[in-house]
Amino acid sequence: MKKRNIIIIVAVTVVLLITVGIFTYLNAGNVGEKKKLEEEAIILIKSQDKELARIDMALLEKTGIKDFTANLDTSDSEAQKHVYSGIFLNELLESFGIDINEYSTVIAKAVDGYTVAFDAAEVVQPDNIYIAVKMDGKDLGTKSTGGSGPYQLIVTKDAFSQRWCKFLIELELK
Amino acid sequence: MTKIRKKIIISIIVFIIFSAGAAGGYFLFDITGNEGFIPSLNVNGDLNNALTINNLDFSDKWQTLDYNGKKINVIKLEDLLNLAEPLSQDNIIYFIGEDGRASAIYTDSRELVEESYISFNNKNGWEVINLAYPVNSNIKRINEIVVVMKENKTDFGLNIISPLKNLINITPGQAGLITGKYFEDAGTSSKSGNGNNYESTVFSVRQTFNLNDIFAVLNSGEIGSARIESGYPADIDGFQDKIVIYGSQGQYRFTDTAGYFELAHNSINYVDPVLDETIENVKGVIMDPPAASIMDVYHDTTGLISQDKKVMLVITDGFGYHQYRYAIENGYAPYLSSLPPAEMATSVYEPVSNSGLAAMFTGKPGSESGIYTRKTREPQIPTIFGYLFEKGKKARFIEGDIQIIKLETDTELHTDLNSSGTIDDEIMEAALSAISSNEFDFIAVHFHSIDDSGHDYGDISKETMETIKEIDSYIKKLASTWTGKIIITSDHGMHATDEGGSHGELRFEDMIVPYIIFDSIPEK
Repeated sequence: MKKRNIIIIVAVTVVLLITVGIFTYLNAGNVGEKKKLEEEAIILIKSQDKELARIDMALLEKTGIKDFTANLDTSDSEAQKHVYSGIFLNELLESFGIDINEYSTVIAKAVDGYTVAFDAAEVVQPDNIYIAVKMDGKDLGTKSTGGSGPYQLIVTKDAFSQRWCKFLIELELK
Repeated sequence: MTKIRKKIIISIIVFIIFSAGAAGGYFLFDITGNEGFIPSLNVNGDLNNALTINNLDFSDKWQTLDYNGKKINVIKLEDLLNLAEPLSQDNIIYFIGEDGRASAIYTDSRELVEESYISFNNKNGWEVINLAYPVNSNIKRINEIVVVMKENKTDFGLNIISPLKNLINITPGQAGLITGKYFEDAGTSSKSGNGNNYESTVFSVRQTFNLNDIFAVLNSGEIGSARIESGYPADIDGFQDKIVIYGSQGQYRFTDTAGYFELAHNSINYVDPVLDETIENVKGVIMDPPAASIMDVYHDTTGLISQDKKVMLVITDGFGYHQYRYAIENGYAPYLSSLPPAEMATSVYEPVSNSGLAAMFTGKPGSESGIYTRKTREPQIPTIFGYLFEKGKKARFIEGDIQIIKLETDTELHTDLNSSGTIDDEIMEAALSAISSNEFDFIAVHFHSIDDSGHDYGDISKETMETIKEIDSYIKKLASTWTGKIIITSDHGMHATDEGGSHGELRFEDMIVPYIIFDSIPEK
């Protein structure tokens, strides 16, 4: 092979390698962030300072994620119907052997300090309170990415979405 | 080198030169075949998006129009408006030429601008062509399009209110019709030469107006529906010199009438020339403001606690001063009637629970606490609960089913366990329990049912008045068991809507609340 041809081939190969390297570097940040998100996506269930369960995405998927619909009504938009993917809260509690009837109140807490209380009767009510992980097929995202997850408590019977809890991190049973 | 390889290399080189030439030509020449400087076209007024257009690539909707025997490139006015997003469909659209000539068209639907176009060429600059309108509406060399909504809304623009009346709403579009030019001195410099001293001054030219201008123009009827209610004083001299200014990001300024307002494309700023400060996107002004504010809760409480006094704060959510007055006058608040009359107090903007609670608990407006909308709930500064813990005092916050803002203490939440339709009875029970424990130096009790009823039935409906009567009885009971000071106030008020009631706007019903502070006398 002539020397000139070798030089051309080497030059093209170097350019290709540099291009691949640049795109790999740009995506590395995304991979790292996703891993951190997955590592920190935990919901703690507790009662009287005793930990009853620790839930992550894998556990939710194992318990069984289903689709359900709910109307999202925010202070600066009209109500819109969305398809969420998640698990019925009472079903999740039962999978850990937690009988909600032994408690009167469930308090949901978010990473930004938002806290909301529910009667046990509301938790038992069919098709009412869910823990969602996706909206319309897409991951909910996190607070830092402008999302509402990784977990969001959805109350389908709450017409004005006032008691929905974004960035859910803890459930306290009282 | 073979002949074929030579041809390939030459072809590649020619292609590269051609591409570079085409790219350079594209940047030098605009798509209409014209070259050089394109003056700015500003689209301002009552819009979501103010536009400044100084190139022809802002849209891909250019089309060809047969006009006066020629084919010209145009963009539909409708497509331009789609980018700007007017807040109303019912507008007056002004086309202002750089030579001072202007026209206006009246549109109450997009249908009326279907045959209106904007073109650009070297000779006429930006030009408006209104095929459906009289020909005198066509203006050449326009430098501004101003969209002015015909019907004012209280949730857009600048509201000027007094404690008992909504006086004026004026939009940025309407304000643009009354502004004058203010030359703000940005510095003078000089240069010597040829035995002379050459001096020049640089200015920022601002479009400004003051309160007098607004009152004067509205008196003359020159701005259509810019007033909400009639009966305002003829001019600013009918008011005191003090005002409170509110900005969209929770800014709060107690000042006088010496400042001026500045038009900023699709919003209105307030400029204080003495402090050289600007409040951007001002939402409103309170004329003759009361001296008290809900932020006084923090200062009154810390003052009393420092004197080793105990304090109970009763928050009557959604209870405006006008509702307090109506309830007193119509016998719905017998216990409150027996107390010293409430002062009028200002809430903060936005008048919603997040902002109101943050203002009470921090003593600061939203611009400092970081909480000024329903979307924000983490205070950026310490609250009264942090202060109390530092002093070794015990405090409790008794709430409904939602902890609205993050505090240095756990909020005691309650649900409607007895299915009575309200949580206030559970809150009352918890408050009595906290009082009887004799543990706490500060108890905050947040009742919600007046707000709930106001939303469902209206601010002065019979249902809401009956709810006020119920809460009045709760306050009487609390006062009969508590030993110490009691502060009663609200995070915000409520105004009537077609569906019931709402709040969150800079209007007197939402912004002015009662404020009562008194010594409780427990029953023996």
